[in-house]
Amino acid sequence: MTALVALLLKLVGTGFLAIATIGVLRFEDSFQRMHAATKAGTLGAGLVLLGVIITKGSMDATVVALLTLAFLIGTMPVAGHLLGRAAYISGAPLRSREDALAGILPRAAHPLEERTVSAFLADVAPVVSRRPAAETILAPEAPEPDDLPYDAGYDGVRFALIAPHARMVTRRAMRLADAREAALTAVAVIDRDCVETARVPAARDAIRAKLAQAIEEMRAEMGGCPSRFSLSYEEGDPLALIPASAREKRELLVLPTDGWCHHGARVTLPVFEERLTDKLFQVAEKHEGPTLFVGFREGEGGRLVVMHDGSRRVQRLAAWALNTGLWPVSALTVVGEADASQREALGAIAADRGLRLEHARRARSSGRLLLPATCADAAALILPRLPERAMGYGEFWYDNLAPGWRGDVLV
Amino acid sequence: MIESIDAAVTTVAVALTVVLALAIAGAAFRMIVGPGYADRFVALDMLTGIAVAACALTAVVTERREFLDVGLGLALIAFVATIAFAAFLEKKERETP
Repeated sequence: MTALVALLLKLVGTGFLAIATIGVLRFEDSFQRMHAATKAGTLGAGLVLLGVIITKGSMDATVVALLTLAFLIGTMPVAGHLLGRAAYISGAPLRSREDALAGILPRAAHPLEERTVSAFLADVAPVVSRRPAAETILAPEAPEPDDLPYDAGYDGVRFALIAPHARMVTRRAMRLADAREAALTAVAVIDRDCVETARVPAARDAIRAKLAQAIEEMRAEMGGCPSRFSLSYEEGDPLALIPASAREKRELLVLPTDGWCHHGARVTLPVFEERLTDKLFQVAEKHEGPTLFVGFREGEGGRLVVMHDGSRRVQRLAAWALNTGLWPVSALTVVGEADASQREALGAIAADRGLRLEHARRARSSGRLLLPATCADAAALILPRLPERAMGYGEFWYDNLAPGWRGDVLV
Repeated sequence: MIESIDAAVTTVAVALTVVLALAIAGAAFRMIVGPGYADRFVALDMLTGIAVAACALTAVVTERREFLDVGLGLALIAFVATIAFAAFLEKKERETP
């Protein structure tokens, strides 16, 4: 009888293992495969072990087999969970229609193997060939796009209405538009993601109310509509709606320094507030043209600091800002790795305005802070790119530039 | 009667071991073919699970108890290996933007 039970257990266990293998072979993505491997695999191996215990019957065999069994049951689910999480984060392809974890776990856009091939080539090619021929093996680096196809000025000012700072941003955008008689576009967006993931009822109404208030403030600030003004009110993905998509329109995007398209309504979201500020950066990155983060100094003049990384983009951006006269600049400082010709070019533009260009090397001891202490009186800052991670948790990204500094940032 | 059952137990165990060997081959195929890292690691996890079962069956076939110890060791190592691979997958994501 016991022999029969043992036989049955081993048969069923082996059957489960075989089915699990078929699952691993035939399912379409790694998550479905994982489902077969961890569940049926644990059960199958466990049943076979039980069968063997009954067949052997001896004390020592039973102890060892039971230990193995306990260990398998304890660890297989943990291992499966960790592997699944890691696979999701690393961007393993997903066959299901919807991504239930979107916004909850970070996820790479491309699977790891696609990303590592190029990284591996970049590591290995110089060692192997010892020649700059590496560039021909790799996908050749795209020529740096002419980010600013114009030397001065702008035809349009586009600004995002984001509730707590609507008044300030409106005021700045209006002044900027008036200075050049440019078209003024206000974009009021409700982030649909925020509405859908909010953990409070009636989030949409709360956000709408806040946005309506912001629009009201904007109208009050404008005092009647200026002639070339348009307001677009949308609900959807702010990343698609706020940035100008056509470079030809030559629009300057004006953004507040924090806040997001839930407009400060009290909706509890599953993602951290910090990540929402990162999203404001993504808006700036998607925008075709310069983006101005408006600080609390209301654009009064003063020292302009250019954080130069030697790239063509920041050079053009600085030249554009000077030529356009975004701020009444009283002093100009270039910080970082601008080479002599770039400094000369900027110096020439500055000389036209009766300014002298100062050059400061970045103090390495300043740690994470971007702005050197000597430039703390700066009114505006030009950055080659935004800081990659906005901040430590709960820290305002401006404080990573220089603590307490609240000028304009042009990107 | 008892002898015939004993013989049957050994024969069935051999047959089941062969089936498991095929399963190992299948999992190994998935591990080699991929296509992604995640698929390979899942297949490896599966493979060690099958190998533990195969060890237990081999202990019955050969009537040597030591194979159960091998199975225990395999299960221990498999867990550590899977966790290491998971950490690798996650860490790689953080490093390569």
